Amino acid sequence: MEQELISLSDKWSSYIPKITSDKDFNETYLRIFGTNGEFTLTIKKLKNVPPDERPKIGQLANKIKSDLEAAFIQQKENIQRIAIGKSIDVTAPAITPPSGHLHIVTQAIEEISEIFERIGFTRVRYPEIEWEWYAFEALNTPKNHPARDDIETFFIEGKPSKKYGRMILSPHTSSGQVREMERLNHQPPIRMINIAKCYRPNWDISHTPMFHQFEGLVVDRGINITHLKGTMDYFAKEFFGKDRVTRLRPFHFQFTEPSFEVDINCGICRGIGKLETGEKCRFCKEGWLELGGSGMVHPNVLKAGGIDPAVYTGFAFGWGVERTYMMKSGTKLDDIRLLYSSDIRFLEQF
Amino acid sequence: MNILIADSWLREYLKTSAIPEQIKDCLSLCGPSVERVSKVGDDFVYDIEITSNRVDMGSVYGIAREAAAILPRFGIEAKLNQYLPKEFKSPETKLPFSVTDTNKLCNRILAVVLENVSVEKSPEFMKDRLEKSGTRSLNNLIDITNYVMTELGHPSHVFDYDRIKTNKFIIRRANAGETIITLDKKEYRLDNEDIIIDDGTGRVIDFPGIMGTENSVVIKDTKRIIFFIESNNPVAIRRSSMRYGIRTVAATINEKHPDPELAKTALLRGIELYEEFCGAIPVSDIIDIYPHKSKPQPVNVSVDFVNDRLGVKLTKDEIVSILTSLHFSVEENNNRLIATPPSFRQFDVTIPEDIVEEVARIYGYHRLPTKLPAGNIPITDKPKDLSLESKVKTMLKYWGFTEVYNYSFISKKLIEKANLEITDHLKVANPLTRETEYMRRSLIPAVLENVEYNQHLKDNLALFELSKVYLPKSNDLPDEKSELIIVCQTDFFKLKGMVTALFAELGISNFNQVAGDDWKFGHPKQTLLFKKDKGIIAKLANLHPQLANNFQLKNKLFIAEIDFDKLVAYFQPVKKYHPIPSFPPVIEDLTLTITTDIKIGLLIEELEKIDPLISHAELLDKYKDAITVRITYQDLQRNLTGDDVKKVREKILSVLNNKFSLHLKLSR
Repeated sequence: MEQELISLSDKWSSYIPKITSDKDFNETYLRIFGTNGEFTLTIKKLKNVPPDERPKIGQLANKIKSDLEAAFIQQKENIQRIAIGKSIDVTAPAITPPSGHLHIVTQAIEEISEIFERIGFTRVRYPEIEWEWYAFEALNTPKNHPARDDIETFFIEGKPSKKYGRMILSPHTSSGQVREMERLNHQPPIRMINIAKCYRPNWDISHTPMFHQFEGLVVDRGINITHLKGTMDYFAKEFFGKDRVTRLRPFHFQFTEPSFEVDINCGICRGIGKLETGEKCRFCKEGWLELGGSGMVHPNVLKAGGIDPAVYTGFAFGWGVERTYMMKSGTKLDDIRLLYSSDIRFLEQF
Repeated sequence: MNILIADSWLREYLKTSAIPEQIKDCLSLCGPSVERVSKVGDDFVYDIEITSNRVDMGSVYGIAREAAAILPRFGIEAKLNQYLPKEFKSPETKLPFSVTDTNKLCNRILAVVLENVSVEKSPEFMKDRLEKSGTRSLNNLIDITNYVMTELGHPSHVFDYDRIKTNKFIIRRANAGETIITLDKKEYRLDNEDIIIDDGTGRVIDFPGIMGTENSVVIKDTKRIIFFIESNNPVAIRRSSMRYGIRTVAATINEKHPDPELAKTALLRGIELYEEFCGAIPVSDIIDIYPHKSKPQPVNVSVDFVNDRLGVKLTKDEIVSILTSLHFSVEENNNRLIATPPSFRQFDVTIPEDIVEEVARIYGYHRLPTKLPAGNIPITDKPKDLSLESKVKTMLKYWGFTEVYNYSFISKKLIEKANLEITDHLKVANPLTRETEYMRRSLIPAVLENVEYNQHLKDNLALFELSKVYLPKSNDLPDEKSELIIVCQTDFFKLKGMVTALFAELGISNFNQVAGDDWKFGHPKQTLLFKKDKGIIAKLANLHPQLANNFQLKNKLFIAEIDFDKLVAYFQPVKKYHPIPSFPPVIEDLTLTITTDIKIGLLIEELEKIDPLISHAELLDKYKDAITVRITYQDLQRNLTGDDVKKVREKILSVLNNKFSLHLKLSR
C-alpha cells in the first residue's frame, strides 16, 4: 500500500503542474479525490493494513494529500496567470448581426405617423383603386370642372358604377376624407392621418406616376383656422426642428374653403433667403419652402360624408411623403425616380 | 394658370408707393401668389398664379384691384384708378350685321362693326407690354384683342367683316362630323355638343370662346372688322376645349366663367383702342344679346359665424371694412351681415364660408394665433394591418433583408416574362407608358426583375416587398390584398426559418406544412405550403427553373409569398402564460435508421402527438441513413421516473415502426 501511495503521488505531482485548463483541473481533482478517485479508493484499503503499520501509512497518506492539494492550489494560480497572459487581436473585424434596410419611404411614413399619433390622430388607409366619386364629386369637384385639371388622373378600364362613376387610381389621399366619415358612421370627432400610395400620370426627374401622400382630417365642434395653424406648426417643429415656423398663404382647392398653401421657413438660410456669405439661398424661394395644401373642410364635403356643417367644422391637409422627407433631410435627390428603381446601391444607403 | 404682368402697366391702374418686392410679398400673403418678380429693362414683370376660382384676378386690372385692398393692410398707401369707359355714340352710317342665338347658347353676345382700319404694326408701348406678358405681337388689329384680355381679363375676337359674306352670325350647335379649320390651320371634326358660329350658309366661321377659324380671321388687307365678345357657357367651353386639346388662353379663361358684365367693359375698351390706335370708325350699333343675365346673390352671414371659423374676435366694423375694400356691398342687420359680392365675384362667392375666406385672408392668416385642437381624442377601431406591417418590416430589416418599393403598375412584357395571364390583370385606360399599362396582381414579377438587375451588383441578395396587389372583381372595385414577398439566395431552410420565426413572433401556431406542386412561381418538387384552417397562409419555394431562366438568374433564388391579410387575421398580440415547470425534464436522444423516404417535418409533428408527457421533439442531426431526434419528457406535477420514460419511449418506437418503418439504431 505504501508503494501504491508513493506511485500515486509521483504520477500526479508530475501531472498537476502540466494542467492548463479549468476543465482538466476539475477532472483531475475528481480523479484523485472524488468519491471514486484514486486516492479515495486507496485510502479505503487502509483497514487491510496491519494495525502497527497503520500510523506510518496514515501519516504518509496525509502528507501526500496535503502535498497534492498544495500543488493544486499552486497550479490554480498558474492557470489564472496563463489565462490573463493570453491576448487576442481586439482590433480584428467584428462579426456583425445581419442588418438590412427599410425603404426611405417606409422610414418617412413611420416618422410622420408617429408625430400625428402623439396628438390623437389615427392612421388609416383607403383603396388605391377608387371610385371617381370619392376623389372628385364627394370633394365638391363636379364633372367638367376646370379644377380637375390640377389633378390629372389614371382611369381603370371597366364598367362604371351608376352611383360612383369610373374606377380610377386615386390621385390624392383626399379621397379618404369621405371614406373616413363613413367609417366613423358620420360621427365626429375625427382625427385621421391617411397615408397611402397615390397615382398621377407624370414621369420625369421630379415626378413618378406612383407616389405617397399623407392626409390629415380633423372634424369636430368649434374647429377653426387657428387649429389648422397649430397642427401645421406642431408637425413642422416635431418633424423639421423646433426652430422652424410655418405660414399660410391663400390658395384654392375645391374641397376646402378657405384654402391655404403651407410654407415653412428654410432650414438652410433660416428664412432669410440669403446665405451667410451673402449668396442667394438656392434651397428655398426667398426664405420659404412650400410644404403643401390645406384648408377648412368645405361644407359640401361634410355633407357628402353625412356630417352637418352647421354643427361641425374641420380642417384638412394633404402633402407628399417623398417631397416632405426630402425637404427634411436636405437630401436633394437629383432624380426622384431613384426611389422606385430598386437599385441596391441606393437602397443600402438608408 | 399663371399670368405675367408688367409693373408699368399695373401702375396705370394702381397708385401706390409700394416697391415691386412689397407688392409681391403682400399679395402672396393675402391674395394671389406672386411666384417671381423679375427685372426686365427698366421695368419689372410679375409672374402670378391665378387659381381656378379667381379668374377675376387674371388681368392687370384685377391684380390692381386686389392690391388696392391688400397693400393698405400693411400700412402701404394704395388706390385703384378705376377704369370708366367712355360712352358709345350710335353712328349715323351703319353697315348691315346681325347676330342670332335662337337657342340661347351663350350667356351674352357683344359685337360692333368698325371700318377704316388697316393692318399695321402695333404701337411700341403695346408691343412692349404684350411681350412682357408673354404674348407675341402680331399686328395692331389682333394685338388689341390680346391687350384687352390681358388688361381687363375677358377674351375677345376680331373678324374680317368682308370675309363674312352674309353679314350674319348664327350661333348653333355643330353637326356631328362637321369640320373646321382653326386659325392655326388645324382641322377638327366636330361633335354635336360643340357650339359654333355659322354665317347662315352652313359655313362654320368660328369656334367661339376657344379659337378663331382660318376662314374669318383678319388678313393682311382687312379694312373692316367685327370686334366680338361672347360670354360663354363655361362647361361647354371646357368640354370642347378638352375634347380637342385646344388649350388657348381664351379657352382657359372662358371655362372659368369670367364676369358677363366685364364683357361690356372689355368691348368698350376695345373700341376705344381701335379708335385711338387704328383710326377705326364704328359703323354699327353695339349688338348686345344678353339672354342669361345673372345677378350676384347676397350671402347672409353672422359676425359670430365668421369669428368662430377664424378663431379670433373681429368687430362687425372690421369685417364690413374688409368686405367693402373688396367691392362687396354690405347691409348690416344687428349681428348679421348681408354681403353682396361685386359682379366679378358672383360665381365665386356664394356661401358664408366664402365670406370667411375673404375676411380671413385680408385680415391676414399670419396674424391668427396657433393652437392645437382641444376636443376629445376620438377612440376608434384602429386598422390592425398598419402597425403589424411596421413590426414585420422592422423584423425583416434586422434579419438582413432590404426593402424594395416597386410600382403598382406592370407591363405586358413583364406579365408574360413571369408566365402570368394578361387577362387576369386590371388595365389602365390611359397609361402613360407601356410600363403603366396594367395593375399588378403579384409582387413577384417586379421582385424577380429587381434580382435580375441587382445580381451583378451584389451576391446573396436578400430582398422583401410588402404591398398591395389588385385582384379584379366584376362590377366592383378590385380586391386590394396585402402581400409580403421575401427572397434570398442562401438556402431554402434559412428562408423557411425566417417564415416560421415570423409566425412565432406573431403568435401564429397550429399551421400545417404540405409539400406543394402547383404554385406557378415554385419548383414543382421544391415547394412548401403553410396551411391553417384549410387556407394557405404562405408559400415557399425554390424558384421555378423556367422563371429562373426567363429572368436570367445566375444563382439560386428562394422565394416566400405570405398572405399578409391572413397574418393580420391570425396575429395574436397577447402571449399566453404557461407556468414554469418545477420538476426537471428528462431529455433523451434517439438515433433511428431510415429505411424509406420519410418527411421529417411530418415525423416531428407526429412525435409530439404520441403522449402528453412528450413536451417537445426536435431533429438534432441527420447523417446518411440515420436521424437523431431529441425528445423532451416533462410532467408538470411530479418528477419522472425511469419507468415513466421507458413506457413512453416504447410507445414512440412502436409508432415509428408502424407508421414510418423506422427502428432504433442506438440510444445515447
